[in-house]
Amino acid sequence: MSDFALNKKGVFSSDKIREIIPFISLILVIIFFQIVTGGILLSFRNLKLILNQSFVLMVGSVASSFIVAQGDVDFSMGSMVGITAVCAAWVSQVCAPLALPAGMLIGLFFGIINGVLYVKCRIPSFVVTLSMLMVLRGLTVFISAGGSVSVPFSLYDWDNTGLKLFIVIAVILSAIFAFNYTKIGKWCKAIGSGVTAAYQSGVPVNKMRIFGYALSAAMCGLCGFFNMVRAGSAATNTGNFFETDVLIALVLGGMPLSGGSTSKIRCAVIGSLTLAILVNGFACWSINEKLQQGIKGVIFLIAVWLTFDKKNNQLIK
Amino acid sequence: MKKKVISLLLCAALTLGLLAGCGSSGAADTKQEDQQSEAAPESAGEDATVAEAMGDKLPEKFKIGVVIWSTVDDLGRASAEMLDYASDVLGCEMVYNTNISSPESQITATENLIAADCDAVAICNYSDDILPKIAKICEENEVYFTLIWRSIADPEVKEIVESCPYYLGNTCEDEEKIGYRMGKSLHEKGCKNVAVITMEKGDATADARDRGFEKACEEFGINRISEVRNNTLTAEETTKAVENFIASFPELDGIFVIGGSNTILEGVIQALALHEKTGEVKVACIDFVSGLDKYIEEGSIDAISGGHFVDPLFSYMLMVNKLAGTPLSETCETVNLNFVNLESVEDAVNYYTYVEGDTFPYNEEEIRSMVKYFNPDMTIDKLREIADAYSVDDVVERHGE
Amino acid sequence: MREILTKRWDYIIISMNSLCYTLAREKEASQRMEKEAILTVQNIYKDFGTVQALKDVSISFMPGKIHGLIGENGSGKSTLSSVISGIYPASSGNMFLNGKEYCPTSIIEGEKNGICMIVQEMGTIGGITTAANIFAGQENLFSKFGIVDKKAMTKAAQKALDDIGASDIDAGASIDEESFENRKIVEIARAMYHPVQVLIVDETTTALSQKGRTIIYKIMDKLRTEGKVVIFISHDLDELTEHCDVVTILRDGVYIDTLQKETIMPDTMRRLMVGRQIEEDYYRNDFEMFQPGKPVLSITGLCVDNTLKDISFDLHEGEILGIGGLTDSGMHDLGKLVFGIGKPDRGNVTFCADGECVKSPGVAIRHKMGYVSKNRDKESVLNQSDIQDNICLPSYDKIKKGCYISPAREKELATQQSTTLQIKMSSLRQLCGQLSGGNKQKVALAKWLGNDSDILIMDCPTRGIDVGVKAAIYKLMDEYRKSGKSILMISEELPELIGMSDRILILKEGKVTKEFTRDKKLAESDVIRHMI
Repeated sequence: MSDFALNKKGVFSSDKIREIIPFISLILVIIFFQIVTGGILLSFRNLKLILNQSFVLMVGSVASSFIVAQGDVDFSMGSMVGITAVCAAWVSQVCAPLALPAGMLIGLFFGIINGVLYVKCRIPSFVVTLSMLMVLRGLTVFISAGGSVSVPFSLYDWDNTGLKLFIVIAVILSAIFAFNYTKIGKWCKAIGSGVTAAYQSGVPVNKMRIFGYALSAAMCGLCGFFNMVRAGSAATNTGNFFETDVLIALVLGGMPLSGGSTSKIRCAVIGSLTLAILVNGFACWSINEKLQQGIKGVIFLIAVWLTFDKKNNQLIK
Repeated sequence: MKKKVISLLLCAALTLGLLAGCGSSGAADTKQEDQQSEAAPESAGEDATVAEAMGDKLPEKFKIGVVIWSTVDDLGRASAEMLDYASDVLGCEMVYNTNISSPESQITATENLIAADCDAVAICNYSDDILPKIAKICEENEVYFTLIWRSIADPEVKEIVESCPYYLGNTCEDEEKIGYRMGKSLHEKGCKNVAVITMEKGDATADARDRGFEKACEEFGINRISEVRNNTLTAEETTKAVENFIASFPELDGIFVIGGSNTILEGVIQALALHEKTGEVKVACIDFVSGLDKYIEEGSIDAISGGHFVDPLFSYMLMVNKLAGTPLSETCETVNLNFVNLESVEDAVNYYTYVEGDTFPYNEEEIRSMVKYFNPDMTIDKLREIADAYSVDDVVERHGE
Repeated sequence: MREILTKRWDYIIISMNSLCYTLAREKEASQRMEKEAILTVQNIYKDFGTVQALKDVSISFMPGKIHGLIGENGSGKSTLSSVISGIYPASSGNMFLNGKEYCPTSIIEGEKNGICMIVQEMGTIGGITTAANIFAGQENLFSKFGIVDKKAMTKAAQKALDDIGASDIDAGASIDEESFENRKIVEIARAMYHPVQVLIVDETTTALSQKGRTIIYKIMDKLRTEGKVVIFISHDLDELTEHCDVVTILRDGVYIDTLQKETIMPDTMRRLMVGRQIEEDYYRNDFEMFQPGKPVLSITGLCVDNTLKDISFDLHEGEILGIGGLTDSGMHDLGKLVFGIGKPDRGNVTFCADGECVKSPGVAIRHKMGYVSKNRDKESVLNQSDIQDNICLPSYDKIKKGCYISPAREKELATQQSTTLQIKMSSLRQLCGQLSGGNKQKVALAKWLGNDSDILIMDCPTRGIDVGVKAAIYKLMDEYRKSGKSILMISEELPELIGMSDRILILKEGKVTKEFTRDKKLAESDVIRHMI
């Protein structure tokens, strides 16, 4: 009897429930759309689409987990994707194989600028990255000249489902490893739990912050490259609203935006999948697109209400 | 424990996805082929029977997808209503996808429409560069596509897209010409110093209109003193922008709005009225908004062209005819549409009475006659003629009392 | 053996005596309770989920008495005062105020009934004026037709401040400009503005200097003469002995005993609080002359604008070096600087072994140095992380293999340290924020002991910690010292400094004014003279 009571408490304690809710809501979303779309959602063809569509989002949100775990936010991701895509497109016209490394290096460069501005000039992270969002968008307009830069057809082969699947699994697995079993992840979470205490325990806070922004931006370079090969071009508005999508995905996945020890990579993965399925499912459902906005809002609200940790409702440090 | 179970589940899900990704692409292809081969004789058989019957609906309820920027602004809404009306008449279904903030999201939107089982897709593409990709997707999925409000400028892209068997054609306006004409009318009204409100570089339509306007400027010696580039201007922001123009350039005597659809024109007129510059600063605008009759009467607008909301209807006809098994042409076709110019208050009143608003420029009968399935005499040339004839007077003539 | 037995016997007799005494008195008390007690709590239970914070607590509060409430951390005294003031309701039980049933649903209702509380944590609202804080929630006292008369409010607020003897606080100024101490006083003024029947002072005095304490004592005395009740919660047994008429002891949420004026003695209270005999002297008991070993850390000419002026000293092997002074003497900054937090304007902290300068906590930790901050919740433990993560944080370099940190090794380290230090917890995965102050401090220590630190800087190591853990920490420090490691102990408590240190440096206005060596005869007054 007492064993049973104990067990019950263990399974149904509110923290545990909060942990599995994103997963349950993902399943509910899948079931819901599977029914309303009459089975289209989980058809093989559509699964491939969902992978294609969520790939960039998943890589982006997994990468930004390292920043969010520290309790910071990277608002510049959208423009970061834009500028790396345009640069990669220019490079690809000269030498196609160099496009990917070029995109990632350029991302890395701007990411380090983000981090250094935040750490050395002590400007709050959201101000730095919001400004960077605008600066980079402007720069993208400037360097893209005609507005849109096309990509040689040889690069179209890169837009390949198998390759993307491989990359996304590799990214997730290495992120999980780094996040849970190395100093990097432990330190990120410690910074999110308490900067001062982490610093006094020997965590190189400044280095970790710069690292976080550099990582996020470099991965934006990867995202930019794949966006570019997907669209066959890079334009001034490539990557628009990417940062918002990433944040929404993280919230849907149950990631505490205040960072800290409850941050998990799986939040990013589940959240991105949920968001991609929401978008795709709505399109497949083919209901009135004006109604869609409303329903989407309601679903998002419910999801956030269920998953968001109300105890940690401090959004941005 | 709980965590382990979840992680196991996740792993299982991922592996399953992996297996599905590697294993079954071949299987799916064959399945699709199966469906295709099943469908083909059916429609062929139906063709024969229904062609004689001549019901008032198409043999099958085709689903047509549209990738468009919005269905709530003036231009987008008018177009969507027009298409919905035509689909009601013909017994088709329309799906719109407005999730298109960037090139890659246009691809996603197209993919999602195809996943939603659309038989054909009309795309208002952001730039030429995404078209090869869209052609590839449509070819893979055996879905027809057309372009709306767009033509392909890049010769290399044009060649690739036009060689795609699923590309049916496009409907477009001569954007460069309309830009030029706007410049010319501003010149005729005596403008020397003009400010331009336009989109960020990269928008094919805006760029073409701008090119035309530039040409007019050179020819007539108009001074382009300033510009605002913003894709998401609201009325208030426009008002502020125009106030800035007025403050920094006292010599300003003309404003050219390259795309007035998104309440931008209202913003301009509001700002001029506030500073009592109405009439003094001439306004030229492409794209129609509601209430133009009033603006023309007040003299707050001096040149306006638009009314091209019927554009998607012609691409739509290309697709519907193809789907119904009665293609208008075996290759891809381009339909050119005219802009409507409103010269007088009467024009504007007529426009709202007969063209846009409660009525549609083409009635039930005329819409049905554009489909070869109902009207065997229909040809691509006739469709072009209809488009060519489109003007306020044309509609008044057909529908006026 | 015999000695122990006798001691034990004594203890039993004392307990029996006090028990009989209590029973008799309680009987007596219950007879007159109905007509005399201002506030009575009866059979109060309170639980937070699985935790029983109060179990069947009944106390009567008599008029004209200062009623002390003591117990170890987590014994339920703050819970009880919160229940009385209406912050949260009891799970079961009754309360009577002046004979009438009283069950407040909010702190405002408590205030209306004349029950006011000055709390441990910050209780003022930032960003508004002092006056607005004093009258927060009661603006309608000064409003006409919905508009608040700010002038009248400020004037009334100033009068309230003057009344309690704090006229140096400007009621019209923003509260943010006031020091922590003055903000506490503002809270008192707020509590005192209304006719008070019961005033609860919850561990406020520990945060205050002499000035603030005097104000509180004065108010308490005034209420006593007016025949009201003061419930006084404090860890400082001497303070309690001096001011209280009655003291009630709680332990683990259970009522233990109530002592009357004549029986209130620190020893008795300590014994009743802990439930076991605590040796009178829990400091180290050796007083031999310290033979300095090799110097391990050398501080030379440390200067920081305004706070520290040319500080130099060495820390030796096996030494506990005490640093004493007033809070603002710069000693807390000194502790941080030695650990590499912040940059001195001039001067160096060097490791004697390899001559490397401490530039950052990272460097300090690599040289096996550890630092336990005074600000436990913000700086020394991660409240949002669990105990295991907290303990392992500085030691990842020690336990990693390649770049892989194995969870098994983390657990091993955490288990080992938490067992050695006897941290009371439900599991290693419990969040640090849920622990009591003493256990948090143990976690902070475990973290550095786990990294095999050779030098420990401890800033106020026993601040706000109950006697039990205090004794454990002193014992630990003594063992640490004996194993040849060094401690730099910064403390505001003189008995601790005198009792534990081999050497004491006294800081005054950023300068070392005096150095004492370990001496049994060293008196607190001698030390104080060099501090002020």
